[in-house]
Amino acid sequence: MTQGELTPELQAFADTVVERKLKNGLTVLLIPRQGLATVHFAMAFGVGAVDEPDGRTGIAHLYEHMAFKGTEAVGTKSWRKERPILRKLDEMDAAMLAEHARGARGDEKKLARLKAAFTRLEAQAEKLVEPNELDSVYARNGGQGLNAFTSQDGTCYIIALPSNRVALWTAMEGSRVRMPVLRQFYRERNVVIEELRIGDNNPYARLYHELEALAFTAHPYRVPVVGWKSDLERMTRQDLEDFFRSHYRPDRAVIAAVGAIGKDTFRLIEREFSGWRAGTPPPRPVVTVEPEQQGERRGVVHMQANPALGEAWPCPTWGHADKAALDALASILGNGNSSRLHTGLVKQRQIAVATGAFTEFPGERYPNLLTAIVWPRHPHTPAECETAVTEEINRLVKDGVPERELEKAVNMLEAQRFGQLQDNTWMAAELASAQASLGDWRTRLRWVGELRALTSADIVRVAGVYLVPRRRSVMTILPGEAAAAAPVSTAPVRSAGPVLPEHPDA
Amino acid sequence: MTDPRKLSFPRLAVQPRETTRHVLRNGIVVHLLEDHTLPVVNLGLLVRAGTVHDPADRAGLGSMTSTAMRLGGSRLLPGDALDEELDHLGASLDPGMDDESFHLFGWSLARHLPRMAEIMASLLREPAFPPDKVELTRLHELEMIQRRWDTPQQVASLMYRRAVYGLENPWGRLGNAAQAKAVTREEMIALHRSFCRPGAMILAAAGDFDSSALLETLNGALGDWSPGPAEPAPVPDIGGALPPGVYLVPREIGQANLRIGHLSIRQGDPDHFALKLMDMVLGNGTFNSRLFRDIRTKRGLAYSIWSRVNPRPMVPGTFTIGGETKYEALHEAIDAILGHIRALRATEATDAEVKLAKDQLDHGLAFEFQSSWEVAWRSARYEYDGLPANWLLHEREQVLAATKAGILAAAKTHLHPESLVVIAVGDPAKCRTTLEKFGAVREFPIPDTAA
Repeated sequence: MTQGELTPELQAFADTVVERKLKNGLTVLLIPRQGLATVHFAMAFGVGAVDEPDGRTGIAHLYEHMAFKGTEAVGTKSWRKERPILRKLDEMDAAMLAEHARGARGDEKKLARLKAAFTRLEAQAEKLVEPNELDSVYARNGGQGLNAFTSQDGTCYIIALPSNRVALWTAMEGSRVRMPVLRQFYRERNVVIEELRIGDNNPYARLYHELEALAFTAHPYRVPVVGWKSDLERMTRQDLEDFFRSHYRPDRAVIAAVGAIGKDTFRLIEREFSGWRAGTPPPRPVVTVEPEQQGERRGVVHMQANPALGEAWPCPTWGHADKAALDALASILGNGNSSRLHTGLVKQRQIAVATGAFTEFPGERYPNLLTAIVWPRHPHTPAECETAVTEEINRLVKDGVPERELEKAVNMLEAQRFGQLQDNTWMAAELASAQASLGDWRTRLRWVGELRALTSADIVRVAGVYLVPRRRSVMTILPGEAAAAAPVSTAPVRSAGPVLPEHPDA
Repeated sequence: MTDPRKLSFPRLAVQPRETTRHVLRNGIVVHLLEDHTLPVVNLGLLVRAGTVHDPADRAGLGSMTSTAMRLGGSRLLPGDALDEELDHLGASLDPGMDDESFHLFGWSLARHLPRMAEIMASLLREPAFPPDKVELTRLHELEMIQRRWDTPQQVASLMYRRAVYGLENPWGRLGNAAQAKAVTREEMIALHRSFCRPGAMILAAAGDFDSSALLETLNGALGDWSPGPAEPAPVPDIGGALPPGVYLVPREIGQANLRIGHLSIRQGDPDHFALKLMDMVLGNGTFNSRLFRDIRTKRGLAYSIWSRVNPRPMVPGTFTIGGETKYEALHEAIDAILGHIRALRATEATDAEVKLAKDQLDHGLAFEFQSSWEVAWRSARYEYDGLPANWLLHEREQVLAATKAGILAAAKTHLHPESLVVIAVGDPAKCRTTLEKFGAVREFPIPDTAA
């Protein structure tokens, strides 16, 4: 097989995918599956945290929350009565922000007056709300798994419905992208701030956010998806409406439907979505390129938790000749119980309880990080683990990689590909997101062919070029008292760590 | 544009997917479901066992034994070779012990299934427990005991379990370092020998295989294993629950984590169906449960807020509400939660609430069959729990038949506002005074990890 071709099993899967495009640029992927009485929908937008302007961090994720508040029809007792109140609330919020911005010179009494009036008006608005009606319409039709995810690279909305309710999905989602109403905004902003605090206090999430903030100095991957608390506190409804208008557009959106696809599925999508037009010119793409790192970077976070170590090296992304070799290298280092790090640190030296290595953190739209994570075993320290990681990398570069070990790494990555396609909703989300963020849903299927074309020499070469100390960022979590001031904000967007025993809530 | 609220659809006729049930030569029960969509296979096994059967001075023995089975591998395929081969196949095979069962999950590409069956059989029949991997298991267990308290959510969940069941109760206790150090290789071997027997095994498989060929493979790999009695050690009914009240788990974190609840019904309780419906109305399900709608949507106090009625097979289960909120809102949040519990006992749920919960359940039937693996595993699970094969449909019928009067009656019988345990994990300086408004506050620190 040559590079870029699909393996026969993946080709068989790819052959089941029907790709269509509406005149407005909206891409539709239909994946029929036999024997199902359900349809699993995903709608992905090529807009994520990387697309946020400074001072508005967290807006992509906050918009995603607000997208559940309904439309001009859904979620309200009377949009006609509601609209002027929402506008007035925005004006009052702007006045309060302006007063806040005056800092110590601000008029406390004026602020208190504004706040009281705002609270009264908000209660009035609340009376016109039909709370969570978007959810209840889906729920009463048997909808399952209504949810959404925001990452650095994109945003994806999911729901699954009984197979005879495709028309419900198209009607609901068609209106959600064309006439959303961002009601109950000021409360939802507080919900997201609680979400931010969850991440702050979780060492397994925190490590990743501190690491991205350390490894990137210029590229937007430096900011956690949930954003900075201070930005969230000052976000306005108008900010979100502007963000929606420029980024939620048919030419950046992809619908994927998996399951009982009927003859009329596409026709229904076309009917509700073909009238959707982009309201503004396309937004400016991310232009910032992370400068080449010229020396090692180090950081420490103290929190009430056991130690953890994260190391990261900049690596390229899709479209670069070294992408597949770096993915295989990460897998050789940290995928599975026979990987180099697990064997070296957990089984032989016995200084760690769990290890891992992967690429595509914090995202895959732009050059990212090959990341190694180690959870030291008490009383061994992150420093000892760091030395051991370096030794494993040096040994790999010096002694090479047996062909069978490369074959194993590729086998695992290929098998995991199938594992991720097993779940119907996840498959829809995955294909839609890949199309929206990377421009082609086949990207990761072709990649298996690229992996198969690698040689051991490729792995050793990229290890020697990319995994050098000069390009490394090292983040450590150490036990100890947290600082009295609010710590750096982080989000629970990615949580991985040792496979801690699950204790489901009793 | 079409108004989605005005659309109505006929009930969808759903054809249930069912497993075929087979028995191997030696009595091992097998549930199979073929699914040729993708070239993959899922396997799962249940054996009568559980960590609640661990001796009083050996909490952790069961889970350590299952870990050591995997790390040590079998006589024919020692641990490191097992790791190497599973990784080379791109497959996984993971044993584990939870409260009330031993389980083993496997996953692989379909073409590796015959080899997976061999590996699984050798691991079940002849685990080697080599001394070095027993020691590695011990190191792993000691580290997990140390790391058990790393996330506030897990602190809240574990401390809640300890409080409602009791510190020494098999459902509430936690293994400690001293016990993990005391476990011997011989104890692991003896435990494995006592529970891992064909007479108490139920296997499920779903995926891209031919059933008759797979049965032949399984009979070849497992069928000549002589059946034997497999009776787990009896579980002492020792009680020991802490008194109801407010417990503060000190932790310097940026928000408070809450668990509020008490013991509840066993599996098989006649009120199970009404309580399940009540749970959906209260906080287990949609954005429109009372807790979500009030505490998250209306008040903006929490990101997660949920309720669970969780019946257990051997002992009373639990009724729990969980969530997290900022310290400034802690009083409002707890007050609102308690209000919702009282309201369920005082007034009937509205017709709209009951209808929404029932509609979602009713029209969601198709989802029970969308994953072949879920269908196969559920069948095995029902048989393990002693439930009838048609339990899924029976339970749904009964929940759909429950009424708002039934919910009220069940809430009056089974919710006890005066017996609630309130666990709050947080910074004492920021939440003690608030908590005192709900009763005397007992400090409930996490146990010394070195003990």
